[in-house]
Amino acid sequence: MTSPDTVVPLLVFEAADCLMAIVASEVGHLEKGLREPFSREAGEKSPGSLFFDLDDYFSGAESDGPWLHWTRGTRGAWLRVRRVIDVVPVSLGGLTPMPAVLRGQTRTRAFLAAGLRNDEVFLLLDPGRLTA
Amino acid sequence: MDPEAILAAIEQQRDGEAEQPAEQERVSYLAFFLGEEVYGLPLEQLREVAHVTHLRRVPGAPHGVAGLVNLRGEILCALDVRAMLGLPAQASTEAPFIVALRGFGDPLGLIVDSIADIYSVTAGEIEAPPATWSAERAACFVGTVRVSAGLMGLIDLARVIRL
Repeated sequence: MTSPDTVVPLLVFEAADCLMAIVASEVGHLEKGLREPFSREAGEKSPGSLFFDLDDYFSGAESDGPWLHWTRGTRGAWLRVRRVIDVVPVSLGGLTPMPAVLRGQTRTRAFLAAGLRNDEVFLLLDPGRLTA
Repeated sequence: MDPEAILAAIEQQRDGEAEQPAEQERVSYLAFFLGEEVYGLPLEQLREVAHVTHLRRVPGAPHGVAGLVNLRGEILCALDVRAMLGLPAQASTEAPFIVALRGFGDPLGLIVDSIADIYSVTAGEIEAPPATWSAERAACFVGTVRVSAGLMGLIDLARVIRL
Protein backbone atom coordinates (compact mmCIF):
# COMPACT_ATOMS: atom_id res chain seq x y z
CA MET A 1 0.00 0.00 0.00
CA THR A 2 1.38 3.40 -0.96
CA SER A 3 0.53 6.65 0.79
CA PRO A 4 0.58 10.12 -0.74
CA ASP A 5 3.84 10.71 1.13
CA THR A 6 5.55 7.83 -0.63
CA VAL A 7 8.52 9.03 -2.63
CA VAL A 8 9.22 7.14 -5.83
CA PRO A 9 12.27 7.61 -8.06
CA LEU A 10 11.15 8.39 -11.60
CA LEU A 11 13.24 8.19 -14.74
CA VAL A 12 12.53 11.38 -16.69
CA PHE A 13 13.03 11.38 -20.43
CA GLU A 14 12.06 13.29 -23.52
CA ALA A 15 9.84 11.79 -26.20
CA ALA A 16 7.34 13.20 -28.67
CA ASP A 17 8.41 16.77 -27.80
CA CYS A 18 7.36 16.18 -24.24
CA LEU A 19 8.84 15.36 -20.85
CA MET A 20 7.71 11.95 -19.68
CA ALA A 21 8.63 9.73 -16.76
CA ILE A 22 8.34 6.11 -15.77
CA VAL A 23 9.02 4.43 -12.45
CA ALA A 24 12.80 4.03 -12.37
CA SER A 25 12.70 0.65 -10.64
CA GLU A 26 10.77 -0.72 -13.61
CA VAL A 27 13.58 0.10 -16.01
CA GLY A 28 15.80 -2.91 -16.32
CA HIS A 29 18.07 -1.96 -19.17
CA LEU A 30 19.08 0.94 -21.39
CA GLU A 31 20.60 0.61 -24.86
CA LYS A 32 22.19 3.69 -26.38
CA GLY A 33 23.01 4.63 -29.93
CA LEU A 34 21.52 1.71 -31.77
CA ARG A 35 19.36 2.48 -34.74
CA GLU A 36 17.38 -0.71 -34.35
CA PRO A 37 16.46 -2.42 -31.12
CA PHE A 38 19.30 -4.84 -30.63
CA SER A 39 17.01 -7.60 -29.53
CA ARG A 40 14.07 -6.94 -31.82
CA GLU A 41 14.81 -10.08 -33.79
CA ALA A 42 15.20 -12.11 -30.65
CA GLY A 43 12.21 -10.37 -29.12
CA GLU A 44 9.99 -11.18 -32.04
CA LYS A 45 10.81 -14.80 -31.50
CA SER A 46 9.52 -14.63 -27.97
CA PRO A 47 5.79 -13.99 -27.84
CA GLY A 48 4.73 -11.01 -25.78
CA SER A 49 7.74 -8.80 -26.49
CA LEU A 50 6.61 -5.32 -27.38
CA PHE A 51 8.50 -2.41 -28.93
CA PHE A 52 7.25 1.15 -28.76
CA ASP A 53 9.04 4.07 -30.34
CA LEU A 54 7.32 6.73 -28.25
CA ASP A 55 7.97 9.49 -30.80
CA ASP A 56 6.28 7.36 -33.43
CA TYR A 57 3.53 6.20 -31.07
CA PHE A 58 2.45 9.70 -30.08
CA SER A 59 3.44 11.89 -33.00
CA GLY A 60 4.19 9.67 -35.98
CA ALA A 61 7.88 10.57 -36.33
CA GLU A 62 10.50 7.96 -35.53
CA SER A 63 13.14 8.64 -32.89
CA ASP A 64 16.82 7.76 -33.06
CA GLY A 65 17.31 7.79 -29.31
CA PRO A 66 18.03 5.05 -26.79
CA TRP A 67 15.81 2.10 -25.95
CA LEU A 68 14.70 1.41 -22.38
CA HIS A 69 13.60 -2.00 -21.27
CA TRP A 70 10.58 -1.72 -19.03
CA THR A 71 9.46 -4.64 -16.89
CA ARG A 72 6.66 -5.14 -14.40
CA GLY A 73 6.18 -8.67 -13.13
CA THR A 74 5.90 -10.90 -16.15
CA ARG A 75 5.19 -8.00 -18.50
CA GLY A 76 7.79 -6.08 -20.42
CA ALA A 77 8.35 -3.79 -23.37
CA TRP A 78 11.10 -1.87 -25.13
CA LEU A 79 10.51 1.86 -25.19
CA ARG A 80 12.42 4.15 -27.51
CA VAL A 81 12.81 7.68 -26.22
CA ARG A 82 14.59 10.73 -27.62
CA ARG A 83 16.89 11.16 -24.65
CA VAL A 84 17.09 10.25 -21.02
CA ILE A 85 17.29 13.28 -18.75
CA ASP A 86 17.41 12.38 -15.09
CA VAL A 87 16.20 10.25 -12.23
CA VAL A 88 14.23 12.34 -9.74
CA PRO A 89 12.56 11.38 -6.46
CA VAL A 90 8.90 12.39 -6.63
CA SER A 91 6.27 12.36 -3.89
CA LEU A 92 3.13 10.58 -5.11
CA GLY A 93 1.08 13.24 -3.34
CA GLY A 94 2.70 15.87 -5.54
CA LEU A 95 1.37 14.33 -8.73
CA THR A 96 -1.81 15.57 -10.39
CA PRO A 97 -4.15 12.95 -11.88
CA MET A 98 -4.72 13.39 -15.59
CA PRO A 99 -7.88 15.37 -16.33
CA ALA A 100 -10.96 13.48 -17.51
CA VAL A 101 -10.67 14.93 -20.99
CA LEU A 102 -7.37 13.06 -21.42
CA ARG A 103 -8.08 9.89 -19.43
CA GLY A 104 -10.54 8.49 -21.97
CA GLN A 105 -8.49 9.04 -25.10
CA THR A 106 -6.82 6.10 -26.86
CA ARG A 107 -3.33 7.56 -26.79
CA THR A 108 -3.35 9.76 -23.68
CA ARG A 109 -4.85 7.08 -21.44
CA ALA A 110 -1.28 5.81 -21.12
CA PHE A 111 -0.53 8.85 -18.94
CA LEU A 112 -1.44 8.34 -15.30
CA ALA A 113 -0.61 11.74 -13.88
CA ALA A 114 1.39 14.91 -14.34
CA GLY A 115 4.12 16.27 -12.12
CA LEU A 116 6.68 19.04 -11.98
CA ARG A 117 10.44 18.93 -12.44
CA ASN A 118 12.10 22.34 -12.14
CA ASP A 119 8.80 24.06 -13.01
CA GLU A 120 8.46 21.94 -16.14
CA VAL A 121 5.44 19.67 -16.44
CA PHE A 122 6.16 16.00 -17.06
CA LEU A 123 3.75 13.16 -17.78
CA LEU A 124 3.90 9.94 -15.80
CA LEU A 125 3.63 7.15 -18.35
CA ASP A 126 2.32 3.69 -17.61
CA PRO A 127 3.90 1.56 -20.33
CA GLY A 128 1.42 -1.18 -19.49
CA ARG A 129 -1.28 0.98 -21.06
CA LEU A 130 0.43 1.41 -24.40
CA THR A 131 -1.44 -0.44 -27.11
CA ALA A 132 0.32 -2.23 -29.91
CA MET B 1 -5.83 44.62 -17.90
CA ASP B 2 -3.67 43.56 -14.97
CA PRO B 3 -4.18 39.95 -13.72
CA GLU B 4 -4.06 41.22 -10.11
CA ALA B 5 -6.89 43.64 -10.84
CA ILE B 6 -8.91 40.81 -12.36
CA LEU B 7 -8.31 38.63 -9.30
CA ALA B 8 -9.48 41.49 -7.07
CA ALA B 9 -12.62 41.88 -9.20
CA ILE B 10 -13.32 38.12 -8.98
CA GLU B 11 -13.01 38.21 -5.19
CA GLN B 12 -15.16 41.33 -5.01
CA GLN B 13 -17.83 39.64 -7.14
CA ARG B 14 -17.76 36.56 -4.88
CA ASP B 15 -18.00 38.65 -1.73
CA GLY B 16 -20.85 40.62 -3.25
CA GLU B 17 -22.89 37.56 -4.15
CA ALA B 18 -23.98 36.98 -0.56
CA GLU B 19 -24.97 40.61 -0.04
CA GLN B 20 -26.62 41.18 -3.39
CA PRO B 21 -30.39 41.63 -3.27
CA ALA B 22 -32.40 39.21 -5.40
CA GLU B 23 -33.62 41.94 -7.75
CA GLN B 24 -30.04 42.92 -8.58
CA GLU B 25 -29.43 41.27 -11.92
CA ARG B 26 -26.11 42.75 -12.93
CA VAL B 27 -23.47 40.13 -13.62
CA SER B 28 -19.79 40.93 -14.14
CA TYR B 29 -18.11 39.39 -17.14
CA LEU B 30 -14.42 39.14 -17.92
CA ALA B 31 -13.98 40.14 -21.55
CA PHE B 32 -11.05 38.71 -23.47
CA PHE B 33 -9.82 38.69 -27.02
CA LEU B 34 -9.31 35.82 -29.42
CA GLY B 35 -7.76 37.59 -32.35
CA GLU B 36 -9.86 40.70 -32.81
CA GLU B 37 -13.06 39.16 -31.48
CA VAL B 38 -14.19 39.72 -27.92
CA TYR B 39 -15.71 37.04 -25.70
CA GLY B 40 -16.97 37.04 -22.15
CA LEU B 41 -17.23 34.72 -19.16
CA PRO B 42 -19.00 35.45 -15.86
CA LEU B 43 -16.48 36.27 -13.13
CA GLU B 44 -18.22 33.77 -10.84
CA GLN B 45 -16.99 30.97 -13.14
CA LEU B 46 -13.38 32.15 -12.93
CA ARG B 47 -10.63 31.68 -10.40
CA GLU B 48 -7.78 33.79 -11.71
CA VAL B 49 -6.00 35.04 -14.79
CA ALA B 50 -2.28 34.72 -15.44
CA HIS B 51 0.26 34.82 -18.22
CA VAL B 52 1.07 31.40 -19.64
CA THR B 53 4.69 30.66 -18.91
CA HIS B 54 4.96 26.88 -18.93
CA LEU B 55 2.65 25.18 -21.40
CA ARG B 56 3.43 21.51 -21.97
CA ARG B 57 1.68 20.02 -24.97
CA VAL B 58 0.31 16.52 -24.39
CA PRO B 59 1.01 14.22 -27.34
CA GLY B 60 -2.11 12.52 -28.57
CA ALA B 61 -4.41 14.97 -26.81
CA PRO B 62 -7.76 15.60 -28.46
CA HIS B 63 -8.64 18.71 -30.42
CA GLY B 64 -9.35 21.49 -27.96
CA VAL B 65 -6.70 20.60 -25.39
CA ALA B 66 -3.73 22.97 -25.60
CA GLY B 67 -1.73 21.13 -22.95
CA LEU B 68 -0.86 21.31 -19.28
CA VAL B 69 0.20 24.50 -17.55
CA ASN B 70 2.18 25.00 -14.38
CA LEU B 71 0.37 27.80 -12.58
CA ARG B 72 2.52 28.50 -9.53
CA GLY B 73 2.91 24.82 -8.72
CA GLU B 74 -0.60 23.76 -9.68
CA ILE B 75 -1.02 21.82 -12.91
CA LEU B 76 -3.98 22.99 -14.99
CA CYS B 77 -5.38 21.42 -18.11
CA ALA B 78 -5.31 24.28 -20.63
CA LEU B 79 -8.12 24.25 -23.15
CA ASP B 80 -7.73 25.82 -26.55
CA VAL B 81 -10.95 27.83 -26.60
CA ARG B 82 -10.12 29.11 -30.07
CA ALA B 83 -10.21 25.54 -31.40
CA MET B 84 -13.28 24.70 -29.34
CA LEU B 85 -15.17 27.59 -30.89
CA GLY B 86 -14.04 26.57 -34.35
CA LEU B 87 -11.91 29.68 -34.87
CA PRO B 88 -8.82 29.48 -37.08
CA ALA B 89 -5.45 29.03 -35.38
CA GLN B 90 -3.44 32.19 -35.14
CA ALA B 91 0.22 32.65 -34.25
CA SER B 92 0.57 35.31 -31.60
CA THR B 93 3.73 37.24 -30.90
CA GLU B 94 2.75 37.85 -27.29
CA ALA B 95 2.50 35.33 -24.45
CA PRO B 96 -1.12 34.31 -24.09
CA PHE B 97 -3.13 34.33 -20.88
CA ILE B 98 -4.73 31.45 -19.07
CA VAL B 99 -8.11 32.01 -17.47
CA ALA B 100 -8.43 29.49 -14.62
CA LEU B 101 -11.99 28.18 -14.23
CA ARG B 102 -13.93 27.14 -11.15
CA GLY B 103 -16.64 24.56 -10.77
CA PHE B 104 -15.13 21.68 -12.70
CA GLY B 105 -13.86 18.43 -11.23
CA ASP B 106 -10.43 18.91 -12.78
CA PRO B 107 -8.36 22.09 -12.65
CA LEU B 108 -9.09 23.68 -16.03
CA GLY B 109 -8.18 26.89 -17.77
CA LEU B 110 -8.81 28.57 -21.10
CA ILE B 111 -6.01 29.92 -23.26
CA VAL B 112 -6.90 33.40 -24.53
CA ASP B 113 -4.92 36.00 -26.45
CA SER B 114 -5.40 39.02 -24.21
CA ILE B 115 -7.72 40.54 -21.64
CA ALA B 116 -10.06 43.35 -22.62
CA ASP B 117 -11.94 44.53 -19.51
CA ILE B 118 -14.62 43.65 -17.02
CA TYR B 119 -18.19 44.56 -17.94
CA SER B 120 -21.30 44.60 -15.79
CA VAL B 121 -24.24 43.27 -17.75
CA THR B 122 -27.94 42.90 -17.01
CA ALA B 123 -30.01 40.03 -18.36
CA GLY B 124 -32.01 42.52 -20.41
CA GLU B 125 -28.92 43.62 -22.32
CA ILE B 126 -28.17 40.12 -23.56
CA GLU B 127 -29.28 39.48 -27.11
CA ALA B 128 -29.40 36.36 -29.21
CA PRO B 129 -26.31 35.60 -31.32
CA PRO B 130 -26.43 37.29 -34.73
CA ALA B 131 -28.33 35.42 -37.42
CA THR B 132 -25.15 35.43 -39.49
CA TRP B 133 -23.53 33.00 -37.05
CA SER B 134 -23.87 29.32 -37.87
CA ALA B 135 -26.18 27.27 -35.66
CA GLU B 136 -23.15 25.28 -34.46
CA ARG B 137 -21.31 28.44 -33.44
CA ALA B 138 -24.39 30.09 -31.93
CA ALA B 139 -24.94 27.01 -29.74
CA CYS B 140 -21.69 27.78 -27.90
CA PHE B 141 -23.06 31.06 -26.53
CA VAL B 142 -25.77 32.16 -24.14
CA GLY B 143 -26.00 35.40 -26.11
CA THR B 144 -24.15 38.55 -27.06
CA VAL B 145 -23.79 42.02 -25.59
CA ARG B 146 -22.61 45.20 -27.27
CA VAL B 147 -19.73 46.62 -25.19
CA SER B 148 -17.07 49.23 -25.88
CA ALA B 149 -14.64 46.55 -27.06
CA GLY B 150 -17.13 45.23 -29.64
CA LEU B 151 -19.82 42.59 -29.81
CA MET B 152 -19.03 40.34 -26.85
CA GLY B 153 -20.03 36.68 -27.22
CA LEU B 154 -21.02 35.26 -23.85
CA ILE B 155 -19.63 31.74 -23.84
CA ASP B 156 -21.75 28.88 -22.54
CA LEU B 157 -18.96 27.06 -20.72
CA ALA B 158 -20.99 23.98 -19.86
CA ARG B 159 -21.82 23.49 -23.50
CA VAL B 160 -18.35 24.25 -24.86
CA ILE B 161 -16.58 22.06 -22.31
CA ARG B 162 -18.40 18.80 -22.67
CA LEU B 163 -16.60 16.74 -20.04
